[in-house]
Amino acid sequence: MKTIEEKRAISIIIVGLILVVVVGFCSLFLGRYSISPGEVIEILINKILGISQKSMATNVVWNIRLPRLLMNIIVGAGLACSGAAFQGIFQNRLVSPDILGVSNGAGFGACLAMLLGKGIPLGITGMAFLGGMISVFLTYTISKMKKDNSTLSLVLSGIVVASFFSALISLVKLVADTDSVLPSITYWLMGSFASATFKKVLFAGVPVVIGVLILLLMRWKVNVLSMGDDEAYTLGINPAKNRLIIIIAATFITAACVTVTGIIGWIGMVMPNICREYVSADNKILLPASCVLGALFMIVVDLIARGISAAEIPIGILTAIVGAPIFVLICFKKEGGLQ
Amino acid sequence: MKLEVNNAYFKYVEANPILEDINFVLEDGQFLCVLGQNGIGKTTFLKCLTGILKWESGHVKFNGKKIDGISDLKEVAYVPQAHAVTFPYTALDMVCMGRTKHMSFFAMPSKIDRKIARDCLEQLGIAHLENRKCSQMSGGQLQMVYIARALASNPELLILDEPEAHLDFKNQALIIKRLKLLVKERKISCIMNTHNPENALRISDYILLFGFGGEYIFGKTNETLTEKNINRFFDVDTKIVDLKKMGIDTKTFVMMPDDK
Repeated sequence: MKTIEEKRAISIIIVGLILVVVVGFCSLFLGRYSISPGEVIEILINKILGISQKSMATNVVWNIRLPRLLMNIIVGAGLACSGAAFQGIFQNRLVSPDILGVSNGAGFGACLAMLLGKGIPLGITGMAFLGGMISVFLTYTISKMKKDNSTLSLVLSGIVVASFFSALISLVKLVADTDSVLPSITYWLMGSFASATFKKVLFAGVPVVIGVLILLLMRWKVNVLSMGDDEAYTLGINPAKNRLIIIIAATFITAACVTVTGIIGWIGMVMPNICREYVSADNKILLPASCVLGALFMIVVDLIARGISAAEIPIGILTAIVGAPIFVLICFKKEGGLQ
Repeated sequence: MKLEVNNAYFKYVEANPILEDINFVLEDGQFLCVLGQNGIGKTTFLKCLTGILKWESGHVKFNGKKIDGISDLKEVAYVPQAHAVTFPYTALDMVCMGRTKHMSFFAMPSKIDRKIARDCLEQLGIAHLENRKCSQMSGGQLQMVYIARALASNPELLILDEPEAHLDFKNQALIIKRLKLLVKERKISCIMNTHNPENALRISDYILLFGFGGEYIFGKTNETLTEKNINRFFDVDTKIVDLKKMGIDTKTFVMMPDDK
């Protein structure tokens, strides 16, 4: 027997999924280069059937807008899902997916790659991914130096590592060539979907899909871990082990997202809170809901980012401009909001 | 159910032993209350018993088998002191968490788990709170939810950390009444920390009384919870008043004024 609340939550998720498809389809024909919806369908069908076509419209839809849409979905769902899981295991609603320093680590990796130029073996994406993983590894190792293995020491060492890498980013910016390298570093750090390709979709897609699947499988454990370590232990799970699995999965997701799009803030923190308020606090429902609504939010915001002016607005700026007021409206409206 | 604690020791720092050579046995349907001043080690004792903290030496046996902790023991459940929840879970979500020990690694609560959770809410008289968010409950209601959560794992032994602390008279009495009923109906044994000797007197069969420096006594409630012991272990002057003369079958503790 399902309660009314659960039925409501499930219908919100289903409506969200339908909206992802509808808005996603719209994003294929909306834009500076105008294409009719009929044309888009034709292009997609022809591509799937393997009929070759060499029009400008085909190129725009298939090589530019479709990978961009897929990236929106992957990154939106990934960041929102890992944000929800992190908020659960750290028992705090203000936690974002990069609490353990992954964004700044990845940012530093990317900046370093841009500074050093073409000679870097892994390229910008590779270096960014590596930087993200190393920073979280550092955070985890430092937190282990304290014996009690608490979430607080993890968060504290995350802050330390994040600000350390943030300083390193500033250092790279300081020595970077102000005409060529510095602008590209600055733009990278603001985040963008403009350079989306199928190669990048694959690069981010594999870790994000695997990571999200693991988080979804572990979502009941997130509930139990959110009661604190001692209670989680008495309820029958090993807090340290389960938390580590969730941290690894969420880190893979976030590192992969940051790597292909640059730093996109807010979505990973705001979407879970919106879902918690309007869908369900139970992570069994919250995690899937965050995935769907995170993807939807990202598609819409990216549509605005590339549609609002001739020059594209970096997505990181828009998620904050759109996200911050929404967050305030939602979280401070109901019953005094954040407790 | 048989719980044995044998030669158990614990201390945080070398100079200050908290628990020294604890020995006792608890059997089916028996109720043990743990008493002592603040900071004496009652909570530490429960933490060691549940395995959150590890004994320095000595061991705990459950049904004749040595155990490290209760994490993988379906027969024992722990009830924390009601504390605010970070996330607005519903009562049903919370109680379902009590089923975790019965679920496989990646599993979600099944229909059966949810049925059991609802039954537990029902048994504690809070079925109407099923869909209420824990963040919108009173302390008494929340404490009942925590008890229901422990009950959901279908335990033989409940370990409770001051479940009636911070509650008003009525809710204290309600918690005690429900626990009494559980012991009677389900033959569950209980170990409960409490600051209220009257509640202990009302509900328990055995008393574990902690003093400073690792000193303790264990014994039957009517033999152990005496004026002499209370005065000694709590360092206060109290009298036990029997209300039988008034036709009430209960005893109560009265603190003597300091300036007598």
